[in-house]
Amino acid sequence: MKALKIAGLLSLLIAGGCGRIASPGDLLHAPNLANEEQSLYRAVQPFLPAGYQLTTPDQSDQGSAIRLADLDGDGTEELIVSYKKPDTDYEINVLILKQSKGAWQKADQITGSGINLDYLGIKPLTDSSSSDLLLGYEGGGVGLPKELHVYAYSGGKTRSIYQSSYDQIAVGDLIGSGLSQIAVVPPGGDAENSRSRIEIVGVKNGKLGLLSDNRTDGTVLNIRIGRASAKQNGLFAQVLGSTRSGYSILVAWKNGKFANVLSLPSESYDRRAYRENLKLGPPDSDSDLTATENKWWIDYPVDSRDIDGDGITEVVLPNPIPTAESDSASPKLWTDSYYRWDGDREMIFVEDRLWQWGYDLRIPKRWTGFYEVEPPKTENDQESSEMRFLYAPLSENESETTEGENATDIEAPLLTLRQMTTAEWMQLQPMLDSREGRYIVLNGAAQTLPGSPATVTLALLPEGNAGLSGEQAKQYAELMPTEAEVRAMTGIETVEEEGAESDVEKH
Amino acid sequence: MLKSIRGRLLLQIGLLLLTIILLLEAVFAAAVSTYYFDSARQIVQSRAVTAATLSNQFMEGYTLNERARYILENLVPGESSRVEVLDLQGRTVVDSYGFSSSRRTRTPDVRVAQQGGVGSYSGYSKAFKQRIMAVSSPLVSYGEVIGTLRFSVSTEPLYREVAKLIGWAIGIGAAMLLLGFALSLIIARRIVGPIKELTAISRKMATGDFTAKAVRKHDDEVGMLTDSLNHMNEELAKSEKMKNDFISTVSHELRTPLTSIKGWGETLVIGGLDDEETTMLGLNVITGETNRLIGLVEDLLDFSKYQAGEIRMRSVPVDLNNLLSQLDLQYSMASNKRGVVLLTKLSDEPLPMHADLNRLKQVFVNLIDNAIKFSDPNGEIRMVASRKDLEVHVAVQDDGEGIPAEDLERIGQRFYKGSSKMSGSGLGLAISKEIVRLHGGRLKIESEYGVGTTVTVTLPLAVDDSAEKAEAAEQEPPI
Repeated sequence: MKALKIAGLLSLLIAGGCGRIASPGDLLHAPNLANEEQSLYRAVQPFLPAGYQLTTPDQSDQGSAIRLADLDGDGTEELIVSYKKPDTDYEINVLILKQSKGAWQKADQITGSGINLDYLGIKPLTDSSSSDLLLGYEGGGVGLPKELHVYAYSGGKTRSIYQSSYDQIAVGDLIGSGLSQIAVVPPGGDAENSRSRIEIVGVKNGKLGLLSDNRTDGTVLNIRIGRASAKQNGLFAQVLGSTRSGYSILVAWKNGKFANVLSLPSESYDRRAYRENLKLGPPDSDSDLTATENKWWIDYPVDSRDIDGDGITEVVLPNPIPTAESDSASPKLWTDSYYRWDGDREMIFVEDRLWQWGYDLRIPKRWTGFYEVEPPKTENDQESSEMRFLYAPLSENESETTEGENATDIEAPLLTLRQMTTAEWMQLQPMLDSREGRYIVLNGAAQTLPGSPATVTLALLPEGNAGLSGEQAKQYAELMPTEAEVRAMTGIETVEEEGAESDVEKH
Repeated sequence: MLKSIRGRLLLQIGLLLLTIILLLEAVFAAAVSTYYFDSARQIVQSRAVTAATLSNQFMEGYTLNERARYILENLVPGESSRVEVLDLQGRTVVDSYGFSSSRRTRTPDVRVAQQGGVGSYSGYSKAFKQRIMAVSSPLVSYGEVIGTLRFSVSTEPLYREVAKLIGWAIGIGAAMLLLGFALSLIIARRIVGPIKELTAISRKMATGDFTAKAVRKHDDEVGMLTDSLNHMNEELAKSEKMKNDFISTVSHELRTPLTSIKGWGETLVIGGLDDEETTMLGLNVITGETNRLIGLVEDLLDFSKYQAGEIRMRSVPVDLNNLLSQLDLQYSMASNKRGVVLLTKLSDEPLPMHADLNRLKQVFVNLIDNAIKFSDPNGEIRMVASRKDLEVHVAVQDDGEGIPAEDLERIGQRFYKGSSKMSGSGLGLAISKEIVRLHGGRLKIESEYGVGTTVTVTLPLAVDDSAEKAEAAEQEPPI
């Protein structure tokens, strides 16, 4: 009897417990935001219409749909939310909430027409104590002009202070006055249209007005404002023209006016192969940038970027590299040579980058002048291809055309990169292991797992002195890379190895 | 604890249950957590892969920012995961709450996605201060990874649910364990209870209470034990009674000659030794009675020796016919005072055997004496020996009063004398039985009350000339 009662009680417990078992899908929810974001997200909900969609700008100094910024300079931040309404396609709303007695209240709402928000910036333009709201609306369709609206915010209300259409925009403090300037490429400029130009708009007599108007003769690409030297900002852009392949510009505030500091004399340009610092000519402050031939000529457009992480944007000079093959029919190999402006009349060589198989190879500085590259070639029917860095001293007085003859008869590879299929790699690996050859698998994180990428890229390190002797052997030994150097060259970080708990599947 | 059946039963059943329950719990826990976490990962993964595939198919060529915006604007209403678009450095371009961040996410799933795979990760997130699960899928444009689409969910509810289920399982397991203990207690009580009762009763029996009787409750081993205990008690009671009877019989048997001896002794003392005839008669009686006493005491001694197993047969090869004819001669020569005649019929064949003739003689003397004792005066008794194969049957027959059927079974047991009022220790037949048994034979008593008694002694013959005898037996069938 007692046993029966207990059994009954147990089955009740089990039934009760089972009734409340939830399926895994029901249990899933996003991790709660532990920080301020949670409260901000909650705060804006009451002010948004049902079915709203948050939207983000394509370009911004900060890409959030919900952000805090002190617009009026009163020391408390306003909350700026950008969203779309579900019922209208061509309407972008920006909601400004102000904080009053600890609660958020609606201050103002800006409704603009456009299909997307192209730009959203909050920068001081007219008064360093308060920020203005810059909104760039995209009308939809490639090549259609975009509309820039600048609003000042005070007393809880917004007021339009400037309006213009643009194709590209960059905002930043070029002068160093604490106020930002707006650089725009007005719409309608392309290679055929010589009217293409870059306008710089800033405060002028208390109002926003045109500060500079630089004529270019081609399509302007990659306009951006960033730190150009240790001391000041600059406007970077590339211009693709019809006359020559193109040139990069760096417009900076120099001696009270805007000038393109990248006026590279041809004698400096011709020495680019040595990868040394380049002397610049005097800054070109002509409003017509096409006036001088002293330019930072580029054979292909590459966006400037901060390559060494020091916060200063480096300018790229496409630079051919010495190749082992003198055959003029074979395509030239280029490195992106990065230079940093010293703030005056010199460009400092920073680094060479060689883009190959998705790897942005950093060429060691000490190799400069002592190597050549054997371009990737595919042997016969094999699917693998191989690129080699060979030891080849290059003396100062030889011109580029005779590089080939200077190479020693002995092939002394500094580094071999090989790309092959996984199947080929499976065959090669035991061979390499048995020879105890030094090698590094570059796409290593996924290679041991099934469904890994079909190709394996391998870096083979040199061994011995490759039959060199005397001075050359000594030089060669100094050039030989260590494994850590190869990893650094290819951008593989050792932290990548700690992926033990992850599951990897082929996408 | 371990000295009782209950303790051992509890311990063994408890251990067994505990092992089974622990094993099941472990399997259950593993299965449940695998199910929950794998399912959750599959759900998140399918969403992440679907979203990334859509974006990769329909937004090729768009910038990461544009794609991030599209993903944000087209989130499934009530999306249960946190959706993030990360750039190649792991910075959040935008998440499903509309925030971007410059904090870099560098969990293994993101790294796998940056290399073009679909990666998943579960672990503790410092940003959310909880355990999360994340699946990252690459955003690809023209064959190049431009960013990562990352879906993350909190795994805390999963941990809670799994912990809850495991908790339930542990609770149920504990309840099962308790139930098991309770059941084994009941079983133990059922086993131990009757044993305890039997123990009490057997103690009672040991104190000499032969009326105590165990009650048989179940038809099982304990029931059988009850039966045999009761049987034992009955037998003890019988032995007790027999012992008491024996003592009174022996006392009586001892007293009778002693009374006679004492009487004659006193007569002789008083009468002096003048009357020679009377004196001789008295002395004869005293000698006779003394012999009877000696015989009685010897019987008792013999019997106790047999009981102690101290008697050894000194077997030698003999022919039983010799002994039987010697007995025949002895009894026909010295005719007894009751005038009973012994008729002997011996076998024609030799009866070779290994035997202690003196002991066997004692058996047959005893049997013949008994037969004479219970025969009518001037009656006759018969002794017939016959051979069958390798055995000899010697039957001693009388036409005396016989033995009642109720005594027949117990006759031959020590001290049993039956209801007859004849004198004797009641040991003779018991001793004879023992001697026959020691010779490898058996003793059978057949009797009909008022008609007579036949006692048959069956003894094995020696084997050495069996072949010869077998031939002989074929030619002339045994009598």
